[in-house]
Amino acid sequence: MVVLFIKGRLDAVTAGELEAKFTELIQGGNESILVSMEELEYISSAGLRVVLLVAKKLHASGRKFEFAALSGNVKDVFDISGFYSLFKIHDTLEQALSA
Amino acid sequence: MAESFQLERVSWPARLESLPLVQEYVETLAQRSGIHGKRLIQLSVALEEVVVNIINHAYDQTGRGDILVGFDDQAETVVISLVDRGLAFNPLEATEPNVEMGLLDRPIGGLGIMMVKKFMDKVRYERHGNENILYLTLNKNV
Repeated sequence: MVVLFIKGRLDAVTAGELEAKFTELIQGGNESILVSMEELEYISSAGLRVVLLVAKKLHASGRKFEFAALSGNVKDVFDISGFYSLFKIHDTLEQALSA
Repeated sequence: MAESFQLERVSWPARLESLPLVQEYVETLAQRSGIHGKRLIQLSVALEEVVVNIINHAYDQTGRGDILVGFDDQAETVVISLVDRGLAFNPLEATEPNVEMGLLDRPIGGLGIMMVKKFMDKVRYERHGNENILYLTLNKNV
């Protein structure tokens, strides 16, 4: 399992950078990916787009894609978009790692 | 409502580099009008969704144009107007995405306008002359 920590703003300006990082992870290995969002303070639909793209790719290769420690705006946006029923989302990073 | 067209508007080129500038401009004024915390972040997301929509779609034909932004501080609300001079297009009429759809069937886009509607207290579209105007309203005392 690879843990990716993302922080700051995930918006239309930064989404491309994250997509490139994920592509690197997907091509460079065969592990599942856990994304820690504890320090992510902002996400827009540009960020959700990257999450969905990556999820589809990982699903196709049978790898897990999980999230941990969402708060504030990120939690609201995931909730509104129905992502809680699409993904395994852990309250804390500790819980995710011991699961 | 007619007087709102007289308000001062600030304009930026419809390019991604303008996004942080539009957000900073509107958020500074919104803070002064008493919008804080979570509501300010929700406003930021709504601004991004509308601005990115304009960048991606409004000026398909000509390739370039401006985004005009107005800010109206009223007694109990703030009203932000986001304007483009592209072909007439009402983003509020776009089909609502089905957020209960499973991963494999899920389209990649369509969530942006839904967030604008959820996060703002009121959203209204008007075509006025050659302008598409989207009014985002936030209540001050929430």
